[in-house]
Amino acid sequence: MYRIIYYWRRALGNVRREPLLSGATVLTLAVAFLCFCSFLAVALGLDRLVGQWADDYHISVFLGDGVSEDEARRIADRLDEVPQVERASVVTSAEMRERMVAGLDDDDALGDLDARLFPLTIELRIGGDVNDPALVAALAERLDALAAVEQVETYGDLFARLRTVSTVARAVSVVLGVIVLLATLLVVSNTVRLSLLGRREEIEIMKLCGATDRFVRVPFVLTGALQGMVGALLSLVMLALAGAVLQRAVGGFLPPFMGHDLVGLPIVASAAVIACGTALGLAGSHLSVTSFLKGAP
Amino acid sequence: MSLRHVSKSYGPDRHVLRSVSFDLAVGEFIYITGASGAGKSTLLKLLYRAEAPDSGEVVFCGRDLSRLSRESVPYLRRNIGVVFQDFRLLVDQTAFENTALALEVLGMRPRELRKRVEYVLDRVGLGEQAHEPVRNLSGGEQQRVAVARAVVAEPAMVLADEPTGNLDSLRAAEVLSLLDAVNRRGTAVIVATHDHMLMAARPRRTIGLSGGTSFDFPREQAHEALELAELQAMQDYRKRRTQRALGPTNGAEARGHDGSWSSDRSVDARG
Repeated sequence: MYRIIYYWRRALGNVRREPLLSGATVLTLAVAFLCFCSFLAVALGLDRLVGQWADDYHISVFLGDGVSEDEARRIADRLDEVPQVERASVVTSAEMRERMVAGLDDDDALGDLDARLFPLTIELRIGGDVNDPALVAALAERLDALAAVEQVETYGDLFARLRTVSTVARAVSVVLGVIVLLATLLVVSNTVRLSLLGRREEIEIMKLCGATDRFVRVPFVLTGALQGMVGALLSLVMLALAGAVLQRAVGGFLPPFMGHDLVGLPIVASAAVIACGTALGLAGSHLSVTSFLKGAP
Repeated sequence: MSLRHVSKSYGPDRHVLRSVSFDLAVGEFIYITGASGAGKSTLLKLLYRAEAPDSGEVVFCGRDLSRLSRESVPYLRRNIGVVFQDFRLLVDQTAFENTALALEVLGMRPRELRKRVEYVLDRVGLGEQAHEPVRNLSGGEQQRVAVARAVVAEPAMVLADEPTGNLDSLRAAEVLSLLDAVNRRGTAVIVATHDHMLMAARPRRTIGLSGGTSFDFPREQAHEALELAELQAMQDYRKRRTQRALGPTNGAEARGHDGSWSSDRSVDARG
């Protein structure tokens, strides 16, 4: 136990002895991780959004002016029997108006609109794979052919675009992740190397006193791990601050549109980023110390 | 400690030690002496395994150090304390921290470590300056810290490489007294020095190094033999310098009439 305490004391001593070098390392890592975390947050946010929309996905079938509610219900019952349709429900003009007004302020002029201006609608929840655009398009085409139907809205274009953006964001995150991985290894191993070179004599003396490679290595490896962890943690703090600023700037706009906060990272992802920073710092410093000690007397 | 026909060279033209042999008994105190460049430091490096011999055996506590694996070297060094001419201390750290280093590598508990370090620093007369950064101490005090660091782990042997080289005669005598006291407690001590005054003040078994070979002689002949060895070393040096001055274009003359390499080498080879 006292050996572990000793190692940590030396690791913290390494940071204290070279505060500028350690600070610069942590800041560099924080910036690198911030780039990665920003894209990761966007990718995960879009992913969640696509998932939510997929869960909620429906096709809106707008009926013509002359169609009565009874007739709409009969059409809905018939559509319910179509294999791809999970559920068909009628949304009356009044209900449609309610939905519209619910998202508006009290003094909004649109709140005064007459219910008759809103079309009678059948909402179809699709039972098959909503990610299959061909299936959705074929169904929409069949519905459009019905005499009572005025227009069919599948939201296919929006959905496809969102999915493309999500895929791109995920790919960028992966590329950035690899770059950050290499950068962290390089930054930490070079910092530790500089530290080792500056303390070459001290290490020589330690080895003359009978210090094993492990005794010399462990404090430096812990220092690297500490720098990686603090760098990753700092990037998350910076991301949260940036998120708060963004939220304040476009706060009224983002949540209703996106449904959730795009900038923050979920707890599991945050923990993974910190673990990743720690592991990379550990690996970088381990590489550096091991290669240094190979050449030591 | 036993050396058997140990040779060490740095490149084909620099034979530092040639078939050096001697034994060191438990608790013995010996001087190793010779002119500058005679191989004293190299010999000590072989003993604490900073270098490995080209041939021969260096046996310590029944183990041949030349066959020691890299992983085993630290465990050897825990049994050997080393004192250097330039002290090799961490000047930003205190006398206490420098001395404690030798016990920290052993993983000693902090309470026991503190007790042992304080005791040893008291013994070398630095109890009051224990928490003083080393850079604030005088040369003599710094060398005493180095001695404290070398002996605090109670090693079987202490090696001192020109320990008084940077000290005036009074401080040198103090440091030697310390090493003498360490030896009286049963620790073997090897002091590499070319300070005849020092050796005359505390006569002990002396091993001379000259032309790469060693010679062990009785105390009463030490002074005379040392002078002789130094004279020989000086002659060798002059010969080499003359040869270098002649340069490679005069190689025919340097090689001698029969075309063989100069007598300097053959003398060296014979020792």
